[in-house]
Amino acid sequence: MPEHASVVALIDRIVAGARIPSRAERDDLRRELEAHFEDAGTSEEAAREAIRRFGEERVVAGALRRVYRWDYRLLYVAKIAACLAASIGVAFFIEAAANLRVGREHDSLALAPGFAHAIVRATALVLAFVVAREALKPPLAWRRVTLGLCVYACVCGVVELTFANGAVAFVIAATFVALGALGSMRHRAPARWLLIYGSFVAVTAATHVNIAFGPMRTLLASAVTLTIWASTSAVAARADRLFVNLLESAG
Amino acid sequence: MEYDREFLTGTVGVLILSLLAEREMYGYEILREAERRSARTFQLKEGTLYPALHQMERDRLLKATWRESAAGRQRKYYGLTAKGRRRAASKRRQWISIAGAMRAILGHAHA
Repeated sequence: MPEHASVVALIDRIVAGARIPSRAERDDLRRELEAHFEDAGTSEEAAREAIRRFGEERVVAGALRRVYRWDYRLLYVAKIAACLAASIGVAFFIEAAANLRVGREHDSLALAPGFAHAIVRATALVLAFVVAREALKPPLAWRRVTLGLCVYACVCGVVELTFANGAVAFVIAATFVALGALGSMRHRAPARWLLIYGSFVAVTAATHVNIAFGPMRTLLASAVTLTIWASTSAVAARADRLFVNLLESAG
Repeated sequence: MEYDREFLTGTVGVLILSLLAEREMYGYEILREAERRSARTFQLKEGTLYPALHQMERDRLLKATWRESAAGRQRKYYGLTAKGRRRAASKRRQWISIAGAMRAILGHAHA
């Protein structure tokens, strides 16, 4: 590769590796590094020597990443917050649609009595999904996994302290997410969805053994859970793409 | 001469603050000036200068502006802020004190 192309590629990699959320600051760094290599000389030999003197790009990008780490973390937290808000909003509408009932007088619509519980369950499912997705993202980092588990356990604890037995919804949600993740490992779409739906039906049935729930309601509740699971997955994937685009958009 | 990294750790900040205390400079100029004055003792891995400059800018020790250099090219010039000037003076005092103490110790050991 000609040395000038190597310089451009090196600058690109350093700017990308610095993970600077602000486009203006990213452009500023790129311009500054371009000026550095321009000052070092325009001949092929000078460019080669400048690359050698510049040092390891991994070290430079890592040092820049440390400088801008709080901006990055802020953007990351904003991404998770936006993802949670959007997913919970979608889940709310799904649950509202599933719990809409015709009133006793047949002239009005009302939400089923179990709607409040359904919302808690849906919120728990969204939270479990987003936490698991972020915590287990490759490359696997145990610090991230531990942090994810701690965040989820803390929310569980707060819910349990606020509402008696509220944490049960979070344990069930974690089970749904684990089964959904296992089912997602299947590559073929029909088999994947059937497997996930089947496992959701089994969990829903198992968690309603003590109350009269009936097979139709079990199937319907599982379908609602699957829809929320799928919508959260779609929202999270969209949020990830936006996040990456924000960090990588070229100057 | 090759130096242990531990000797050079912490010197980059002092070096930047001291050079910029005299006048505004851009990255490449700082590197060449440090190299020239130290008779090439300070031959940093040049890429390490930029994270240090950006960190100091974030810490409000430096302020940066793009303007034309003597060669007619746009360059990002760094200068000290009031906080940077105070930090530069403090670092300078500390460094002179440490250097004096080390010289005394090494001189004794040599004698």
